[in-house]
Amino acid sequence: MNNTSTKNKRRKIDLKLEARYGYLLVAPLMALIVIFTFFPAIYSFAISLFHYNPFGHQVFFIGLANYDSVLHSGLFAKALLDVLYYTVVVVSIQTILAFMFAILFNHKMMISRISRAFVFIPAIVSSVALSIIFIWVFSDQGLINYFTSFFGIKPINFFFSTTYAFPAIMALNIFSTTPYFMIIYLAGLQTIPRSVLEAASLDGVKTGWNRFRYIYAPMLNFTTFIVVILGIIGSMQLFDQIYVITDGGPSHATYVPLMFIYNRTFIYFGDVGLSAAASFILFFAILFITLMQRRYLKETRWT
Amino acid sequence: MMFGNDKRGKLFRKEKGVKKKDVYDMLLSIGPAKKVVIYFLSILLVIIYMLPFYWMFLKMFRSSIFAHFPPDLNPFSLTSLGNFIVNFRDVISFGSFPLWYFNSVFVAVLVVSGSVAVGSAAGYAFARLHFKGRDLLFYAVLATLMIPFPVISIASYIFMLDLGWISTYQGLILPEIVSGLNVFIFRQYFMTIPVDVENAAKLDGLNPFQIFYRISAPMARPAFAAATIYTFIGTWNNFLWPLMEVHSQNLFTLPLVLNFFKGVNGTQIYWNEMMTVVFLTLIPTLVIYILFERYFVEGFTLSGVKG
Amino acid sequence: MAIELKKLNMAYGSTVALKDFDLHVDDGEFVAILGPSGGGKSTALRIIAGLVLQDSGDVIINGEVMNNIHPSERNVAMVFQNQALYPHMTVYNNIALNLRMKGIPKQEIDRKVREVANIVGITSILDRKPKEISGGQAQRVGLARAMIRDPVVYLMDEPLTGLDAKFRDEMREELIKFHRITKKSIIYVTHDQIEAMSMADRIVVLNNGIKIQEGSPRDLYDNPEHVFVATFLGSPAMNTFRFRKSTEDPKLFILDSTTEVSPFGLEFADKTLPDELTVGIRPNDFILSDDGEIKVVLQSLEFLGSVIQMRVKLGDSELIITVSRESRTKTDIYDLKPESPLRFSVSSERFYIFGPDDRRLKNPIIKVHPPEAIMKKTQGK
Repeated sequence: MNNTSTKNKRRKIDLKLEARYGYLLVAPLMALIVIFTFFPAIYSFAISLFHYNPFGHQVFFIGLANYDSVLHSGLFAKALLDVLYYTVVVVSIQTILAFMFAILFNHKMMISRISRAFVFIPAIVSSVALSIIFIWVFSDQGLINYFTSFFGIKPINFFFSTTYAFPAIMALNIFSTTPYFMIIYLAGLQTIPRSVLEAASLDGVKTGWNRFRYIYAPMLNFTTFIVVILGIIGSMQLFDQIYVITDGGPSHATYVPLMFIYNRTFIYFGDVGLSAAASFILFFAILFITLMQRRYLKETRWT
Repeated sequence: MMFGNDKRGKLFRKEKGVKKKDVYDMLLSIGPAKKVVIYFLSILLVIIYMLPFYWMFLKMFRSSIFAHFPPDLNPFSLTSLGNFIVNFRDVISFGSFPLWYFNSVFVAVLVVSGSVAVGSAAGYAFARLHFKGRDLLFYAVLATLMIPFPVISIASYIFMLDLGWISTYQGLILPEIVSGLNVFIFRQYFMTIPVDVENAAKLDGLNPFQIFYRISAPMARPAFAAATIYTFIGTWNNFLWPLMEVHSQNLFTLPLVLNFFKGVNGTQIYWNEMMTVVFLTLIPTLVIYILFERYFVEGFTLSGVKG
Repeated sequence: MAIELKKLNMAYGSTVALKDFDLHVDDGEFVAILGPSGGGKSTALRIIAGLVLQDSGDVIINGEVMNNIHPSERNVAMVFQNQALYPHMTVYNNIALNLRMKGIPKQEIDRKVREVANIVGITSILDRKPKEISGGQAQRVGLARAMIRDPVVYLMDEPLTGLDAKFRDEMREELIKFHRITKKSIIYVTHDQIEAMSMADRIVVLNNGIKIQEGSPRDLYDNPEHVFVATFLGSPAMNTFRFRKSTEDPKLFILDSTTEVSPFGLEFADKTLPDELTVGIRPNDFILSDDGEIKVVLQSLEFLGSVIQMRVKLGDSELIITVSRESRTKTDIYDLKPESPLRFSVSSERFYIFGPDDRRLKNPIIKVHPPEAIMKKTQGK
């Protein structure tokens, strides 16, 4: 090797090179985040302090008055309470069902693989498409009434009933999101080594219930946390199905916060400030529940 | 030749692959009674989950616009390919259906490619490159996961209004590209790639960007697959943002079309045509699902959502 | 001289990885850097390669200071633990990538790739991906990828660690052959003393970032300068004991023990030794003899083919002794039961004496005293 000739040509280590590439690679993402997430978030807060009507070109500062009127409008309070009720029902049922589905399908049998693939389909299907199919399922000519008619029950037009419309929406979403969370549980179940089950089996943990109690449930503690959190965040943002199926009705029976926010901007033109304030209140409600969950997890997690 | 050829390669691997399957199967065996229960419950669930889609499928081959009671679930009564062709023609000649279909594909392809390109590059930088403020920036990305999109949608809409981007492709696409989850999936995956492979590349003279796109990115194929699938399905099904953003029929994407078609005849839904539209909307999702089924579970494992 | 390291210092935060580390490697020399994991040896290798930048000190390769030269321009090649092959590229492309990056013409690359592939015997697998080859073949691909660069020195970072135990012996043979054929310097980092002893011309022992001793394998084994070296090399490891100076006689040292009578004592020529000493004896230096000075109690016995390994108790300490199967006592060696008493002698030049700083002391032992003698001596006064 003739090092004299190459001596001066050798490439030097550039200490800043790595950092430069680092900034280069994150720059596009950060730019998009700042422009399309952080800026709207701040903008949203700013708007919430104004009477803001982009269509009538009326803009003036009103402080926290929007928050006041949102909280004191019976409609939003009702919508928030309704969505909380919805969240409690849907999240608890879908979490339990998802866990049960996952355990049922976590066998190395052909039937488990195939049926799990079918059951997952509603989770990937467009919510609007599914909502439209379910308009039929819950209509007076639909599938549910067909089955209940065997028991002599008179047909109910679910989505047109103030009593049944909201439970029907709940049923639809439990139907479609359970498979999604089932997959998360299946991923969790796959991380449990077979040797643990084997050892437990030698220790006499053989029945399904004992296996669930002593192995699956404690070892999937964190998975359950994720499932519950994602479930809550998703449920609180309920919109598509309501908009497509009931449009908040009948007589506000299915009116949820995002319906309120959407309508205030797009139906009753002009209350954008009010919408922004409402969306902030919704955001804090979601954040508050999420953080409460996190605290609960810290206390109970043992893995 | 210095060492001679290694004939033991195969034998060696075979030994490594020995599994203790027999032992496990004995201990965790599934008895015949339990098998019957598993079969029964599995099939029952499949029936419950498939019935609505089954009816949708039959309705495409029928001529009646009504949903009759009791529901006709016989696959051979009143169905014909001719009915389907009529329904299909009616649907694609409705409004600008081909354009709407194109809009959906166009938006999904651009959002997916943008999100995967931007997310993988950033995920790699967060996983492997050292630079000042890296952790802070990563926390900023994580913070976006805490802000649900519907919550900022009103401000985003006003922002689009200010930019004059209402009913434009860029207004549909750009706000959808940021996906904190994708960044997270990529970062997690890149962290599992052995550092020595990248060191070897460094010794071979590659710069950090070349290491990323010639060495590490090709090794992260499962992460790319998972991110692509999830982003595609999310964008394809997205309803709220297009509903706010698009005020002109020319920019309709399929979820908007579904909603539009539902109400186009007043309160009466033309069920045979409606189900044809629904089915056409589902096709890309189903095709991707059938091709990449295994990545759906993997995606969750990659994002660290596990026990 | 192929490589020279001068006073290398490196710390990660408050953890010192290397302290004033010097190293010379001659052309064609095979040097092993041996030490426990976290001892700084891998850092040293990465500093030579340029993958890690030293805090201070010089890296000189082929007479040229390389401190801030890019890793790809240092005329070094590295073989990694688990090979670190590019899994998505064929074996051919794994080997060729370096030359491609240098912009060498295609035919030239092809000629060189086939040449090195032929030398290490992987011509038949050039089109395969790393997944489709065996561990031994991957090892050779790793060597070929390094070889194609025609480096001044091969840096090897525990290349055999990922391999199955029975395969490792064979790969050691191949590495020795590889060294003989290429005639290039090799710096080989390992925590496995057998690898270092069997392959290297010279071993550098590194612990906590400090070079403890260097020398030929035989030299290190026969003349360890430090307790660490003495106990790290050789298998089973050297037995060590604490000895305390007798209150009556400054030349007499007695095994530190809570039992009433010390099991044996050592008498030195020198009066001025420190109060406490560490004494080491290799397991195979014990000689079974009925009038030996060292009285032990058998705990367990393992038959290992050519030798018999015993676990015995001497006062409070447990130690390992290996004896050849031909050794004889009054009773047949195979009939010994746990708790049977045994006597051993060790010739006085087989004791390794270390001072309180763990450094070797060269003080001749005059006499090894059996327990009875110690008792007499202490009672006599």
